[in-house]
Amino acid sequence: MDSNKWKENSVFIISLLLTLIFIIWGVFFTENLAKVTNAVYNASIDYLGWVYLGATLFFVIFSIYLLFSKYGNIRLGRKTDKPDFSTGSWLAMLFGAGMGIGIVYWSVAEPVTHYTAPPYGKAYTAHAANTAMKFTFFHWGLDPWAIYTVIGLALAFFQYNKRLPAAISSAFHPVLGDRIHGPIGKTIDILSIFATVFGIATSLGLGAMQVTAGMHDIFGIPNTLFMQLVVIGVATVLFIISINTGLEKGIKYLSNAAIILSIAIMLLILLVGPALTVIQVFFNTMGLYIGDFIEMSLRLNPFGEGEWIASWTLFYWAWWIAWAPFVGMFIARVSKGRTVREFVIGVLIFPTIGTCLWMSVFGGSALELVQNQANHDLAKHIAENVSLSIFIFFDYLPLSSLLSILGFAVVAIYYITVADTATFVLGMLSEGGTLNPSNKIKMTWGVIQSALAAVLLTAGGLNVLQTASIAAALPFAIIMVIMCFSLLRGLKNEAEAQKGNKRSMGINTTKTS
Amino acid sequence: MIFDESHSLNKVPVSTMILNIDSLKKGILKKKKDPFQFQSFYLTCLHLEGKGVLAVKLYQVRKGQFVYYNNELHKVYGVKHMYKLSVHLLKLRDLSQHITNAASVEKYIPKELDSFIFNHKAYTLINNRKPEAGDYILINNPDPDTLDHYSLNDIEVVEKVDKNGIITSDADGIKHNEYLLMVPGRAPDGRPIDYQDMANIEEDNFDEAGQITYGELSAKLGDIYKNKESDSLFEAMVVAIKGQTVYLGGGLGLSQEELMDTNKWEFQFNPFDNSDS
Repeated sequence: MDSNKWKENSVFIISLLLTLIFIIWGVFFTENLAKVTNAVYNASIDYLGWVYLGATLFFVIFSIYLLFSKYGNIRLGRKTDKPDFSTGSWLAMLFGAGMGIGIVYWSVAEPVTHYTAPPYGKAYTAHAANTAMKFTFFHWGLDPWAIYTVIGLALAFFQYNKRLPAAISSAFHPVLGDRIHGPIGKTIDILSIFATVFGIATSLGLGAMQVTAGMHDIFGIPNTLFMQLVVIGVATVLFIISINTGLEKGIKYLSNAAIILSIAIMLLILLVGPALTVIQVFFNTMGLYIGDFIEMSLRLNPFGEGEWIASWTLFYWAWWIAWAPFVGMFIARVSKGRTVREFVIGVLIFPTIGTCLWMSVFGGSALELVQNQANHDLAKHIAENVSLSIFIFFDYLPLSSLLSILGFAVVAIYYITVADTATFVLGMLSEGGTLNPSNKIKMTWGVIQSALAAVLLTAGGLNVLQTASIAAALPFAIIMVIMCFSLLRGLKNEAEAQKGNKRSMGINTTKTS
Repeated sequence: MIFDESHSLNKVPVSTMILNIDSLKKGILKKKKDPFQFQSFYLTCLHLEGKGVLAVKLYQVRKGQFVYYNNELHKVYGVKHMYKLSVHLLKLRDLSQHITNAASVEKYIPKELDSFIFNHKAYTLINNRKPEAGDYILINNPDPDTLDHYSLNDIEVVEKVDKNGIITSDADGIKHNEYLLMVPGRAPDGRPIDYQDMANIEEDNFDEAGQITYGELSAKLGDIYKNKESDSLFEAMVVAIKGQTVYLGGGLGLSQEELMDTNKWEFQFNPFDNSDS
């Protein structure tokens, strides 16, 4: 009986222990943690950079291949399944899930920071502004969405077409067979949970910094580490209450509200801001992005300083990969009944255009402010106060207090919905892919992810958050590359099975039409 | 807002409001729209003589509710707020679609031991039995997790049962307190809920097992049925109907009842039928 229980819960227990060891390390040996993460950070520049770059470019190529492949017509789910959501709300949900807190946090900060410290060329010039926008598109464009496409498609396909549990290990069924239920499958699940916890903790850490900055801007509350920890604590209590009282439905409405509010903010800025510049920035940067895509994708600067690449490109790639099991699970859940082609268009192409538009609106308006009006001190100020950046930017626009309050609301809502959904996803992953994770396990993950975010913030803020996800995501990046081949084999089998089934398929299609 | 004076107070309203007629004229009470809840409020107004006051009855129709319409049990599958006929119904007995307004339906909350016909087959709602793969469930108490999307009174098929709940064939995770099991047949101590007013239904519509005979449910010319007992693929079209006997292509003659037994024959589609209802 006991050994059975251990077998059932081994994934949960081992991944929990690993995370706990990390937290204890952070609490009692904070300096040591900061030192080690620093060493990892430097090593990642020297040794791991090419792994991340290569893997991510591969995901982009693989997703585009799927879009045009003969597997495009395979439906995720039964052949008669219809999508659960209208295409409009599906796209909105994908966009909201993939970007969440980050897009608010970085949309002004990133272009302006690149402008003051560009990857190459002279700072504070028009050229630097264009380069800044180009790299912002690059970091938020095809690459993150290709990562989500791969993992979301794999999860959806093996869950709905092969009727396997909603776990990452299920995606390896064509390669491993029934060994996905054995030690190899469990190791895969443990590594995916480990990466996910860090991805979520990074987002929660950024979110807590952003919420505190918002409160500082609107209510004048001090912007300190202590307040950030209070924010994490309060949010933890809130979503634990929601897990236990059936307020989950409320969370769903909140996340819809966040998406609607963010689109409202974007439109508002377009109205009150420099709309013409925004449109020009969108077109111009799109051209630069597409033109230099391959060069940026493989850029490593072997004979010079790799600092910039590590703290931006590598951090993003690692963060997206660490985030991927969480987002992939969500994307898979809302995409049942779509075909593979629809899926790739919906997850790769549309959100890429959406994020680029978003970045043009925020980044374009902010750069207009600092470049065309030669306000270099403002640029410096923004780059030095990253978590305050969006509120500083709002202060220079008409209706600034309205925008600040809306922006704060969006960040706060995203924070709570991400934290809540994360507990559910971690519960599912750690209980062998069940769709009914128990509340105890969900609450345990809720507390753990908050504790981890708090520890990382205490150990050194943003830098430690970034480094931690770079380190934790590496094994999972390799798992994802193998996953692509497994997915391809699964799709091939499915296409062959469907060919043999033409007769019954004919009847089904007549029936539904 | 829909004002329907023909309805009297014998309807049971969700809540009753008395309003000053002037405030109503000014349009203070407006139709509520809630995109997430799929609900619709309708007001039925009566003049209370000489007082200048309206008694307003408020019906709240939501997606998923079981309702009686024309005395028969239906499920609301959609509410389109902008239209006069805003309530879209599915007759549970044969899954045909109907459309009406909120004032002509009457809500019913299904309970344990209620029995009804769903898709030509009788089921009784049971709470204390463990479901097995293949069973139907009625989700009467939905509490979906963040990533689930089922809603009130959805009927789903069980695919897997675990200790916390069940997984349905639509990949929803449903906890054990959220559903009632639909057991085939009518339990002896069960209540048939197919009709709102049993008195008006002729006794002979029920056979000894309490099963309602088919009447209008009969096979139509052109219907294609699949034999479920045959090992090889066996599909046939209804080519003639003579009284209670149905003739299928290939010269097979059988009674209406036999054809309606979903264990033996399963309706596939009718190539000539393009109407929705």
